[in-house]
Amino acid sequence: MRSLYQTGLALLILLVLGASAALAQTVNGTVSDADTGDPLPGVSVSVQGTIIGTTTNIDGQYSLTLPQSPATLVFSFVGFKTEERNASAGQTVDVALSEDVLGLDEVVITGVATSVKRANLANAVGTVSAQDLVPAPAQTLERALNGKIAGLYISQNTGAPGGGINVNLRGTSTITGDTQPLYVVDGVIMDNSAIQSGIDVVTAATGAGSSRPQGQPSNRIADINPNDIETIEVLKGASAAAIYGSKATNGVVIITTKRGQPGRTRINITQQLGFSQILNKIGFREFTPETAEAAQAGGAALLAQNGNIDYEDLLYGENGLISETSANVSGGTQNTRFFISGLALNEEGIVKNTGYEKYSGKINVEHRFNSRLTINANTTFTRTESDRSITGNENQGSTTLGFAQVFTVPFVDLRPDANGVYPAGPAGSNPLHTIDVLKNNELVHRVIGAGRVNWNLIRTQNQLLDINFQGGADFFSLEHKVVSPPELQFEQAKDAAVRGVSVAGETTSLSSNYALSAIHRLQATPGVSFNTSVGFQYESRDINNLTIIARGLVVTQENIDQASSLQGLQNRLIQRERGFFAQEEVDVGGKIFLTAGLRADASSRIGDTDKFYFYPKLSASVRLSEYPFWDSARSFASEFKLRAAFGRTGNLPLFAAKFTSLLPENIAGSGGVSVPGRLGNEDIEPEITQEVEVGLDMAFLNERASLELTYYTQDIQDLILENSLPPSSGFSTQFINAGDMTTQGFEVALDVTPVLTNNFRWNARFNFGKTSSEITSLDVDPFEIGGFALSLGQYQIQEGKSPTTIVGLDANGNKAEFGDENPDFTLSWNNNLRLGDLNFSFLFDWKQGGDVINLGRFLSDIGGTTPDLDEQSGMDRTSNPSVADRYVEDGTYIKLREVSLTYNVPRSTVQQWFGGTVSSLDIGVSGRNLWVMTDYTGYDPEVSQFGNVAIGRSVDVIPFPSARSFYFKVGLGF
Amino acid sequence: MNRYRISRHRGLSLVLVLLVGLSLPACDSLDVTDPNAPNANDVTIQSLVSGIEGAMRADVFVYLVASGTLTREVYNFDPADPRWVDELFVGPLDPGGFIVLRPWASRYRVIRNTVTLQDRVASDLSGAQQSAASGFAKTIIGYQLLLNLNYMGDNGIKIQFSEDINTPFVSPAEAYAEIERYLDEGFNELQAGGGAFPFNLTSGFAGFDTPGTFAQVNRALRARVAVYQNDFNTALSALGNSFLNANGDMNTGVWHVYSTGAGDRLNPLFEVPTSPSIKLRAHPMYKAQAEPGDQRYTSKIFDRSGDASFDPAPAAGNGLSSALVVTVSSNSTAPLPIIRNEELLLIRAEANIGLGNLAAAEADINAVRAAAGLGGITLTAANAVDQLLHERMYSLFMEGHRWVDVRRYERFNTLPIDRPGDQIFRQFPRPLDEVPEGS
Repeated sequence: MRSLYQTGLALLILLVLGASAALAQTVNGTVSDADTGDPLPGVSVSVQGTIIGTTTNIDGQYSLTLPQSPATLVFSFVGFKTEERNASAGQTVDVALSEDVLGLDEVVITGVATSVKRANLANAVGTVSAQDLVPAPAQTLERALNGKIAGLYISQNTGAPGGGINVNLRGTSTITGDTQPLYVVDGVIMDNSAIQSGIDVVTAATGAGSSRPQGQPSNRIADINPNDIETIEVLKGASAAAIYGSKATNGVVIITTKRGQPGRTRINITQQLGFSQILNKIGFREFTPETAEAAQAGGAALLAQNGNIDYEDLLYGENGLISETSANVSGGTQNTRFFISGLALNEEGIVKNTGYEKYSGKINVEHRFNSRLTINANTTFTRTESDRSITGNENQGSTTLGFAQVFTVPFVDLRPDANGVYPAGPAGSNPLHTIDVLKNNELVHRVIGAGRVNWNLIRTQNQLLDINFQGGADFFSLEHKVVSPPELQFEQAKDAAVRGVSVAGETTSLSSNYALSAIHRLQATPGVSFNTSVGFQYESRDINNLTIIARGLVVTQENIDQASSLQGLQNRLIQRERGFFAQEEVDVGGKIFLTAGLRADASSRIGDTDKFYFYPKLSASVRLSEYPFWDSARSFASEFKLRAAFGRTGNLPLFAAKFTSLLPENIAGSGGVSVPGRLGNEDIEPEITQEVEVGLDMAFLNERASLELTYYTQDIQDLILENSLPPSSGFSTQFINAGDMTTQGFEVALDVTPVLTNNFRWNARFNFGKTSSEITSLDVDPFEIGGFALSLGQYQIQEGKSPTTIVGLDANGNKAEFGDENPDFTLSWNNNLRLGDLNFSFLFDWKQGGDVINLGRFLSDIGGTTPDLDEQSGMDRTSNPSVADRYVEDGTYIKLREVSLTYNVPRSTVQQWFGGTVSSLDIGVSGRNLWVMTDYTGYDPEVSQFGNVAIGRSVDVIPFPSARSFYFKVGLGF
Repeated sequence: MNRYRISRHRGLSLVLVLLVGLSLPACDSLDVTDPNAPNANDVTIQSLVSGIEGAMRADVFVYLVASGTLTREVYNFDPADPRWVDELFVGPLDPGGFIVLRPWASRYRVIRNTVTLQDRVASDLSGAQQSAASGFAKTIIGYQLLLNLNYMGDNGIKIQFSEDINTPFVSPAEAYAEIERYLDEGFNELQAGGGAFPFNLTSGFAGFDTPGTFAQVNRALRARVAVYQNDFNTALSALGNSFLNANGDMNTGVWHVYSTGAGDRLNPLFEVPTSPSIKLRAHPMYKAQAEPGDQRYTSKIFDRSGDASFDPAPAAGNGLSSALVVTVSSNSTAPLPIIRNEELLLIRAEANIGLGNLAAAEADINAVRAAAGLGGITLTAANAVDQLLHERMYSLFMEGHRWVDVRRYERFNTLPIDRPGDQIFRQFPRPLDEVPEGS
């Protein structure tokens, strides 16, 4: 170590001497925004072919010492097109930068601590900037990402407040493993667990038909405040994400939060007010005296008395008020910058007594001790609370709103009488009563702290050595409170000893990780540079979940000690991981860009915890447009790049996969244990995904259009399957590595600016994605997974078939295929129009194909309340003996996700109105999920009764309906 | 220049301290023991036995209600799961569905627990204690296999407890032989088991919680297995060593117990009888065929046909109708029987009918009827079997026997067809996960 250091020092001295031999020659100037003329602070100014550089000060000014004269200066800044200027000593070089509409010049993070310019990138990395992220308020971050990146498919599990959203990158990558991407927020790996609320205890949904949890939990990425985000980068597949190793198979979402800019202290306050309402109603059957009498003896009389009551309106008819207040203060000096933000979001749901609240505060401080040492600290506190009511599947007696809705004929009146007494419902519950008194609350307190230290060890004219430390911790406590009071009808059906349920859940999660890396940049000869990084990363994660179930509540009491029976559950997760990584990037003259990297990971979740698994990556890109032979084509395409990349990532088995965990089986006060359904596998290994990605990027029509074409193919090996064991062994399943799958697809991102004048700009972006998967080998018998039973539709895992194939029993009781959940393609169309001071944007999102098992309709057919039962279509359907044939539906939709119209009041007017106190004012209206076009007969083809499972998502058991929301916005800048 | 050097050295040492400090946790072993559950080799024998007794209750509901539905003892109007009024009446019976799979798997899970117990008994105990514990284990295995054989009927069961899917199903005859082997070996071991078990059983086994008294339960089960095979002499001799008592309480026997204690189970058949939404309802045939004054009927079934607020045919019934609430359990912690005296008397009556001893059979049947508040009847060769089945229908309502009886005596034609197109099923198909694909 010491001798290495000495050698390095000697080298350094030589280089320093070499550099100082040249005469110092200074050039200076000012950089401004071409659009507004304002000075731009923080712009990076460097000498081409060297690593000499500086940044502009608060007034946009810079001063730089040239190694030789003349030289070429490169001016680059986030969100602006990079400019080059020739400069000679003593000159003043002023530059105006113009906006980089197509994002060709943005810098993209590619390693744990390294980044590269998009133009050099060998992967299709998706990015979303702050201004595109939340044109209309989004409850949670994932909702704001819908349709914004090719290959990214986002689908909600339920419309319940607080989310529960699936984020999928590049199709199916696993059968049983984690499905969600890795979220890295300012270097901290964020816990995105979806933790069950305990509502299952009331619904007994996990009782009879399926052992999979069905609480449709929210996932914890929801706690991020979308307004704090500066950029989001999405590493979609293994070839880009390999440096994140064993947790990166589902891609990596790298979130960089906002930081201050040197200069005047800016204050922004935005107030939005709005409301939400149900997006899409199913409708109900309009009974006639004849059909009412047929449905129920005395039905005709009831119908005459009550008419057909619209229960959908009574249940989901609220216009929930929404208020979002966000504010931030940012600024700083050349050496210290800060960003402080706050958010208060309060949304009422479309069901009475439901809603979502989020309060969050953030401080981000960055200090530069000197030109070599920079430290950044970043803390976020969030409190979110959601009231989610009770929806989805159930096995208790119409506990959920959906079940009660479809099993209540509309001519029965369930509204409370003059004395406030709720009549008993024919479904076994009175959902209006349920809404009024049942509580399903989730409260999260979360603190995320992140720190970064960058220490520059060596800096010469042509090399640079940085030591970078990034680390942080993410802690949250999640309290669940479910109260089903004893007066509810379905509780009254129980014995007094167990009537009324209160579930108190408490989960604490602490994740921490850090990475230490050394980054070396070497400008070898003019035009050829090397960027080397090595380092290691350590991660630990502890989750402790306590659930106490109290039954037999004392009337009016919710506390768990006011009950006649108590049951406690505890589940812990302990995860430790370490990894080493090394990456070499070579830039040959800005024309060819090569990357090679290797990551080695060991994890406590794998059978052999001492074994390192290796995740290599290799990539190359060539900018043909940089070569002279391209000159003839330059008028057509100013930028043309070919790229290819290979990489490998892993997906860890479930923590429990290697253990045979005996279950408690108490009887009469005696503590017993029983073998579990699942046999442990001590040899379980991670799933390995190898991806090859090729593509081309081009900019054409005078940089008014850019096109990104990508094809990828993933080979997923050692698939972890929950293999069915013959139950006669005493066990039902065991996780094994037993199969291979390929997933391939292509993505197109087309960005065009059809109109670009001083006064009017229209930018449109199309994102197209298509993916398909196939099981290529399977070491076990084909099996069904997901759903409830073969007769009700399940997914089939079979060699040669798509893993999302939906099967069921046909009219003759034989197994047959009825569809595939995988969509034919997804296409989004995002538009941004600027006319003078008016900004208008809208986003359409189209999913073509992809089937859904609509068991909600199955239930309403049984309940006799489906709208079309008196029509031919309904009669045809109910006479078909095959359930799967009847209820597997096409889930195609086109949704208008976001619309926003903002008027930026001209500065002169603002000046006139407020004097100097207010510097900017914008007002606008916006909407989210305003419109949907679909033939799907349930509430929303975006649905998953089972939450974020890899296989078995598209099962609809009447979730919380989706809402549309409208907002009015006022933003003030000081 | 000087200042620069100092800061650089300070910086370097900072980095070194960081490096050393941070690499320490990174060098720890990553091996984590299961934080959530014990290992089978570490738990006590008592925990294993309590676990066996507890797990025997798993899916008793599905077993009783599914078999009771096929044989038209009950309807289960469960709006959450239409398969109870759909699949079980019109088919096809889904070999991958929970109704087929869950009771089957739960019985073999108890067997796996029992095999674990046997391993621990073999290594940790000796002499009479070992013999007693082993006798208990074998009796339990025999009983669990019998329940699965009842479910599968002619389809047979597996008698190897293996993770290999290719292990064969054996015929009912072979299965009975294996069940008899477990029970008979268990009986011998219990007799050599001394005065006490090396563990405690719950109150469900009160009076039968020593090797000697538990052996009487073993023989009672053996008698049941014998009559199922028309082996009447064996049945009578087994009953001789059982707890049969013609003058005793009909409910003497062994039971599954329930409580509201932590981690315990609740009686799955109980519903508040006056509730507006009742799922489990007795088939109207039970009302039609009940003799006036039969206390078995009045105690086990609550007739709400006079209750105008009660809907006998809710949508979940899909055309089926009954206002008869099942009240076999009086509350959510009431026990459910494993085997009891009333059945033993009826087994003895059946064996005697089979052997032509009608007088002896009549005495036992009349004892059972007297306990139900009914007068005596006279058995003849012509009416004996019908009368026996009638008594068993009411005496053992919702205890899992009716279906086996209808099958043994081929009385499927006596079961009503409630809706056009409904079918009667003889048994459940072999579970999907037990049969290799393509076979």
